[in-house]
Amino acid sequence: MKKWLKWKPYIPLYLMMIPCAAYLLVNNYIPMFGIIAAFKKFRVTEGILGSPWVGWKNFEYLLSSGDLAIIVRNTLLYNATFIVVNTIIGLFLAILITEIKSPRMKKLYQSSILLPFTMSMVVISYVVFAFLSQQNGMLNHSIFKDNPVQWYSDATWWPLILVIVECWKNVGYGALIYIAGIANIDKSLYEAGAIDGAGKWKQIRHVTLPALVPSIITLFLLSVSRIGYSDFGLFYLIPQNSGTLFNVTATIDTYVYGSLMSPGGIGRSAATGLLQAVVGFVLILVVNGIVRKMSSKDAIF
Amino acid sequence: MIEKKWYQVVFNSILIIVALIMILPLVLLFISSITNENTLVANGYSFVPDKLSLGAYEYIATNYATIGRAYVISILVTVLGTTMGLFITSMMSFALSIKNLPGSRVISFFVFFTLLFNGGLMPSYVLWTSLGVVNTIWAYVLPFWLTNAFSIILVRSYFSANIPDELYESAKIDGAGFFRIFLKMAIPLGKPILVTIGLFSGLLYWNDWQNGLYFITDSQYLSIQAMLNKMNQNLQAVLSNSSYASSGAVMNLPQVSIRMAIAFVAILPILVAYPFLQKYFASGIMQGAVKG
Amino acid sequence: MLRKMLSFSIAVMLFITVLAGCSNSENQESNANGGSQQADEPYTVNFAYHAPKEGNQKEVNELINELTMKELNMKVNLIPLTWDTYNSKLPMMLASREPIDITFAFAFSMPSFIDGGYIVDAADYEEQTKDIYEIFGEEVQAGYIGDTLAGFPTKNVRATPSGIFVRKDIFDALGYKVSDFNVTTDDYSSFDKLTEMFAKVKEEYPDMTPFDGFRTFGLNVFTWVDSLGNNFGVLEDYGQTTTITNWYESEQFKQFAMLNRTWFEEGYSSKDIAVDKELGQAKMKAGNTFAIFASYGANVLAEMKSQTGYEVVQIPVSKKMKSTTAVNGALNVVLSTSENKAKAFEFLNWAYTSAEFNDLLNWGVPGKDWIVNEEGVADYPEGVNASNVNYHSDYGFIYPNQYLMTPWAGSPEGIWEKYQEFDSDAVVSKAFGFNFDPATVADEVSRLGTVLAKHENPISFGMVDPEEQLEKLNQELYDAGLQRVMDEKQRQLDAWLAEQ
Repeated sequence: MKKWLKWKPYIPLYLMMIPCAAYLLVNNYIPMFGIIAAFKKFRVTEGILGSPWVGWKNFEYLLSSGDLAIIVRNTLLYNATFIVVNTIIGLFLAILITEIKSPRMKKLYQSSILLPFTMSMVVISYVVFAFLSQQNGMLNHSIFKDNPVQWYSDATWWPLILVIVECWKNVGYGALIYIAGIANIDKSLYEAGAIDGAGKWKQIRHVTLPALVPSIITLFLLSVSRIGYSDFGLFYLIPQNSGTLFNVTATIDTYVYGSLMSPGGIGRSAATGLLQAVVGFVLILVVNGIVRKMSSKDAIF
Repeated sequence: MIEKKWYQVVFNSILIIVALIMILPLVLLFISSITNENTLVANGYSFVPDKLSLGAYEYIATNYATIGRAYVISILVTVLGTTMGLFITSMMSFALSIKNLPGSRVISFFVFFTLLFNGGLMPSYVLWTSLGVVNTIWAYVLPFWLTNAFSIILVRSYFSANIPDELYESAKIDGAGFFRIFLKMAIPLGKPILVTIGLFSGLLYWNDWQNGLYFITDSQYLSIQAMLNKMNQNLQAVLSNSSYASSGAVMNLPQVSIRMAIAFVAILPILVAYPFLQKYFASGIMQGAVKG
Repeated sequence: MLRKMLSFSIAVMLFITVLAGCSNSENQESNANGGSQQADEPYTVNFAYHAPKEGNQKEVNELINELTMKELNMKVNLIPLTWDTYNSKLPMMLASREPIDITFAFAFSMPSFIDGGYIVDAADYEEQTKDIYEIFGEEVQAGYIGDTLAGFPTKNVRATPSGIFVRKDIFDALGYKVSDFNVTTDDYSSFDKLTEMFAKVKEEYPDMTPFDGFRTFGLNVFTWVDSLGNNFGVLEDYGQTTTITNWYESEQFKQFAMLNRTWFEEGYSSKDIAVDKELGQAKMKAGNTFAIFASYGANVLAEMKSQTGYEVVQIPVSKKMKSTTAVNGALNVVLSTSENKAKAFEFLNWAYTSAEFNDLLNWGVPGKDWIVNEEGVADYPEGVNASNVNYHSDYGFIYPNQYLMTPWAGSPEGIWEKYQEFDSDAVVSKAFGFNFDPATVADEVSRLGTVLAKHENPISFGMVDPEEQLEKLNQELYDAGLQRVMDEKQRQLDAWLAEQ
């Protein structure tokens, strides 16, 4: 009875939670159980539950085909590069922009760096194709006129291309966070520095950067928690699905999609998905643990 | 003082170059869309084409049915998805922001756990398909994008920080007053964060092409982005149903520039709304940064 | 903690409910009833078929419904699939158990379809499919994969030679005659004539791309060799041998790759040819493409005209071969997702016998999309043409029975007899009638498919240097188990040959 009294006033609140909770249940929780397909030989007539168990066979296939090493390497290396490049360039841009005196120019720069972020990957893939197309592309028609590059078959350029495209699209987002962080810094710190005769570079190193550490860590943690996941559009659309580029452009996500498309690949797709989820899960726990050790208030949980 | 000026010149020049890098690719997209098709094929994409032509846009204008339908679907999906998402997110966040709510820790964990672990594409695909979203507008609205733990946590923190505790106390005494408080107090108070979340979600819906890839098999239901994606592989399958050449002449479909033109039409709403978007994104990103 | 577990168990329960909803209990029931019990309720057959575009089939669908209601007391729901949706969407639709009754399936996906339990064994429904047996006779056997009768072939031309198709206006203007070309795989230098022509086109018509499209020599494996169901281990020389060899190590494949390499490097083919997924016919229709590569039947010139809007000239580049793959290359199958399999087979049987149905499916709405002209062949009505017609599949070769269709304008008289004739002088593969059952090497085949997907297009279109890439491709193929598949093929083939 007593318990009931405690709960009763909150009933409207529980009711308000229902739509969202139901959505998370359907969209996020129920599919979690679908990963048992990773251990099954999926037969459509029997459904996921009825299909026969095959143990680790789907994983063995992934390992023995050699694809697993490639896609895991690509996913992790690309994401790590993105994190580093975006952080450095983002900080650089943020610091430059906050130093600009003219408010109009400042606004212009802020607006322009965020613009690519609002474009969809499909549109960006068209733009990239306009640059790289081997038949009509701008690069082969201007800069590489005498020595045209076969962009869509020459794997050497792709790590660079993907990093550039990703950075171009997303760096503005991070930069704005850092700008916000800089705006929150107590101005008197700079003034004190100025009196001491500290130059721009010293101010940046001793005041700005330390003050941005929490923002950097937050962004870093968020990126790390997604390190097993890749921007599907970036890796699927931008290379135009060119087979010769597989070794440098395939990631876990494109591979999952690819296996899903190949009949009989359902089990493999689920197995890859499970590996991805587990790797992501472990990494976020580890990194968050490390951050909590170092500065507990910046940890996510 | 001279030193200061020197900084400004260098910083401004660097940033002008950066701004050009950010904007010029999209300018190229637009210029390609108004370049004469034969010029494009002969000289390639260029910022200063020899010959301009509005052929691609004329084609779109005469065949507005296909593209118009995709546009309407995109608008509908964006509006529906954003409002529904905002509604369920804010209700959940509001409830979770109430202090001393029994069970709120468990529910918070229930929300948070979705950030840590997921089942992957395959089970989601099977599930949503079995729920019947294929070839309906719901295929764009429901799977994956409606809400996410990050938004819920963000809005909850905002509510906790900005809604005074006394309100909750009075509501508790009032009994069933929570929903009224939510509508009358929480929503107006939370407007800044809700607008930001809504804009992010609207952008996500407008730019989404993946749900179209997974769940749409009938061209009638392609959104503008899904259509662009499909056109990349098979222009004819999307556009060949035309009245363009009713004169009897064989149609010279401007293959290259038409793609660029439709891509430009697809980003047009974003460009138009950009000053507004940019303002709220910036403020939203700052809130996100502060709250983590 | 307790509550946490509670919420999880609710999730589990919900999930199980959803999965159970997908299970097959209901299907078996309706299957057992055979549909006779609900004679008044017309059953709707979901019929997935191949079409050049999606979404314009509504009126055709209505007309077919009138027909099927009259003749079968059934309804049909047409589900058009394009080339790209077949590869990308169909497996997903099948996996999620969308209620499709009938689809066509290509030989390369058949093993995994059977393996995944997608396909109903047609042998159990002989009762419903008597007409099909009558139409095909012995050829029905080609539908067997292992012990399963996976489906029924389509009734059409069996030999699928390949050719280069070029725009006639330009061909004539350059002063060429078909007799100038005598392209044969017996003498690879005969292919140089094509290269010469492309060079001339590039010179005289700088706006044209001499060669484009998404097929080329190296990709059309079935034209040159008997590929026995998949490309991994083939009988070379149009199947005139009984020794399985690796196509990707053959002199022929190398020669083809080098030819395409020349075209690519000289700029005769589009530089984006291996990346672009547009059909050659569509490219030609757009007006900038001079030549495309395609396999063909007896009526190819009329077909090309209706697909591209241009008069074309055909330059044959291969012999004609008849192999099992040509019969079972595409089968019409009934899927386990069908709610009433007996009805589905009944419909399929009818689909092979109804001329009206085949015409509707291929040419669209009579009077609107096509008419029968004075010569008794199908043609566009006044004011309608290849560009503005609403529905015009022209995929007769992949619909149930092409020989029942009204021929398209420009077709020679007695075209279907000509088709039979076309087949009659074809080289018959020594393995004709043999069906490879890949069940024991399914994993290898799927792995080989992944390897091939990486290299096949770039090498075949000459986007990469064949010398070094061929070595790499073959190394990867052997690493993925090519030898095992070839050995298994040889073993099954030897056993079959011994029986003959």
